[in-house]
Amino acid sequence: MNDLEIMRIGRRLLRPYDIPVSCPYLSEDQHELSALDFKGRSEWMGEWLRLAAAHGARNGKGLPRRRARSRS
Amino acid sequence: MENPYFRLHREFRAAGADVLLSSGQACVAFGIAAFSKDGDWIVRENRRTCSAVLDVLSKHDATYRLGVPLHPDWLKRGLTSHFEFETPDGLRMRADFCSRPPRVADIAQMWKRALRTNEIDLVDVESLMRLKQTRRMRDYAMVGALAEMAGREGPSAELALNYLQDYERLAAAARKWPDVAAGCKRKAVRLLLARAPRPEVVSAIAIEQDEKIQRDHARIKTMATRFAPYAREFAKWRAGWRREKTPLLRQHEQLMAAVEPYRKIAP
Repeated sequence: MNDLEIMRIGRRLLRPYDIPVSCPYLSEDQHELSALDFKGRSEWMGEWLRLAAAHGARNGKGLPRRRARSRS
Repeated sequence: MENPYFRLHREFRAAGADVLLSSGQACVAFGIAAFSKDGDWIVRENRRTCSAVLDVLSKHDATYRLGVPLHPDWLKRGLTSHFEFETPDGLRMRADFCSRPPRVADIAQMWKRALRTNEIDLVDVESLMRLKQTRRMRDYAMVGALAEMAGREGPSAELALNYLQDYERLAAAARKWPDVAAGCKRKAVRLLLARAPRPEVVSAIAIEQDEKIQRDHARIKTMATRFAPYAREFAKWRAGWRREKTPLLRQHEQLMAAVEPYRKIAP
C-alpha cells in the first residue's frame, strides 16, 4: 500500500464506524467506542481512567469492569 | 472528562515536540481498544523534541521510571524512557517514549505516514499493527481488528492478507484478492491457496502468533538480562529522587551521568 492509502484508512478510522457483529476480535465495549467520534472516544477513555483511579483507591490494585450498556 | 493522554499529547505539541501517540492510546483513538492505562509515544530522535517533552513532564512533577534518559544518544539504540506522575485529580499517568519502535523497520516511512489532525498525531495503521505484535496474546486481537476495519474502509488487500488473525476472514480475503494472495509469503495464505484443510491454516496462524510472541519475549528477556545491573542501580537512584523530591530535570542530569558506564552494554 502506498503512503496516501495508509493515511486515508487512518483518517477514516478516526471517524465513527460500525464494527460488524460477526467481528471475532472485539467486545461490546469496542462496538460502542467505534461508533463515537474522536471527542466521544476521548471522553470514554477519560471516564474509564477516572473509574479505574477511584476503584484503585478503594480496592488497591485492579481495574473495574465497565458496565455494558445496551445497544439500540 | 477528556482523555488525559490526548491532553498531554497536545501539551507536548505546544512545547515544540514532534511526537506520535502510539500503541494502546492510538488503538483507543482508532476505536479499536476500549481502554489503555498508559501512554506510549514515538518521538523524533532529536534534542529539541526530547527537551520539550522533558519540560512538559517537569511541569507535572514527573519522575523517571526504569529506562534510559530521554536523549537521542540513548533512544537511537532502540531503548525506551519511562515516566510517571499524578494529576491533581488523582490519576496516575504513565508516559513511555521511544524513537525506534520494535518491528517497525522503516522509521522514515513511519514518520511520512503519520496521521496528523488538529487534535492528535498518531502512528499509521500499518506501523501500529507491526508494533502491536508483542509478547501479549491479547494484542493480536487488536492487530486482527485493525486489519479487518482497514479492509472495510479501502483497498487494503495487503493489510488484510498479512495481518488478519482468524481463518474465516483470512479465507475471505484470499478469495477476494486472489492476485495479491498469490504473491503473499505468509504461510497461512499459501496454505489457503493450496486448498489445505482448515486445521492446517488455523495451525499456521497460531504458530505464527506464537513465534512472534516468543521473539518479543526473547527480545525483552535479553534486554532485562543485559541491563540487570543498571536496573539495580536505577532502583537506588529512584528511591533517592523520591525521598528528596528531586525535580525531573535534575533527575535527568543525574541519570545522564549515571548511565554513562552502561554505554558499552547498550545495543
